[in-house]
Amino acid sequence: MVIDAIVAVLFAIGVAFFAAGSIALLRFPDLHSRLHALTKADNLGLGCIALGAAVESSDLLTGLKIMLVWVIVLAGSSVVSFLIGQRFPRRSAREHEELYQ
Amino acid sequence: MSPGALDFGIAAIAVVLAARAVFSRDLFAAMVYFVALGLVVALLWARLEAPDVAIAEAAIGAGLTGALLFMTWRRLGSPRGMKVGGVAARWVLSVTLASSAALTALLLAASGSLGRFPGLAGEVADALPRSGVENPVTAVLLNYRGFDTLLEMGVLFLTLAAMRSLGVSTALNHERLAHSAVLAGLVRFAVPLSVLVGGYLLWAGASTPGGAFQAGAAWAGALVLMRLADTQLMSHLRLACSSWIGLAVFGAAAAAAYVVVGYPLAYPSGQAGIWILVIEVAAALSIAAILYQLFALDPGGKRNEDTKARR
Repeated sequence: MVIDAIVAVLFAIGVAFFAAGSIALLRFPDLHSRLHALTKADNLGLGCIALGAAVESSDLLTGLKIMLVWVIVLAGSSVVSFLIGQRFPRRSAREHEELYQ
Repeated sequence: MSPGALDFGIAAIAVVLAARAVFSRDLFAAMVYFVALGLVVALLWARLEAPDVAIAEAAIGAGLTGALLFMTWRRLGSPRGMKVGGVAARWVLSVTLASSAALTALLLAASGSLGRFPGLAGEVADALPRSGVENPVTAVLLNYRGFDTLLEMGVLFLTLAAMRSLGVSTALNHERLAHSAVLAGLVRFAVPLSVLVGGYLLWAGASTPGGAFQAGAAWAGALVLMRLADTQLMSHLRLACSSWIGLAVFGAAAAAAYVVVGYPLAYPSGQAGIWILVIEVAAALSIAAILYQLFALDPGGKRNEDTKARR
């Protein structure tokens, strides 16, 4: 009963972060803000859902496997964000204003 | 929410994504929709309790096809001469729509009779103890219907042969990211992991979901990642050998079975397990090598060299 409640709360938090990340991805004005939004969905959204699934799983080994999935996704998404950021360096504030006004 | 509503929701999302992938004017957006569609379809297969297909769809349908599409898109250059339209396109579209509608109608009609025919699940289960493996999907692919899988390997090999005949340079293309220590770190972490996952999928295919196609896709993913990071694992010669080893071993097994048992791909009784394992290892190597080369070889590379030589 307590476990169910913990799982439900974790899933709710995870979904909230995913929703916030998705809305931000659509609404934010430039690449770097969008990358910032994506990391929230990957780190915290998936993290909370993985943690919830791990708590829900029957044994420790399955739970650890689920958390390993999260760690691997984190590694992949952080490297991808880094590469995208490196490829498109930040514009100066003035260039940014000219572009997005 | 009931499970039915959940499945209906996922199916509706798949239809919307498919429509947007087809009708998007922007090629880049269409590709993003296509990759998203692959992931949703993988989810649908998982919901249908077909994890084998789900893994293959996610790895090949979304992952590798996505990489191929993005690479092609980068090479198209200016999207201006790529305008879709005209009489021919309208004909293609109407024929495609008509055949899709006919197929949908047939499938709907057929789904009405699903309950009346039990299918072949009973026969598959009855013969499973003699098939050499415990996973019914692998038993069908490599034993009962081994011929189909042999032809599939042939199709993959033909794809590579057709691509190379179009003037592919033997040089690998220059689709690579700038050298980066962070990317190199990911390669050191992810490539051994992918090799391990592929090996596990190959071995696990005997008793649980997995098998040569899933393993080959995982290995091909590792090769693509190494390519992007400008790390070379396999020489051209080794790649070329790996491309045909699957078809060669599968064909040799068919011939050997014909000699020993008197029927192609009918494995000697009691030894089916080891025959299937040998074929699957060779097939997985070939699938990885061919999928990787579809990504990494330079189409039109030779033509460019020729043009340069003529000048």
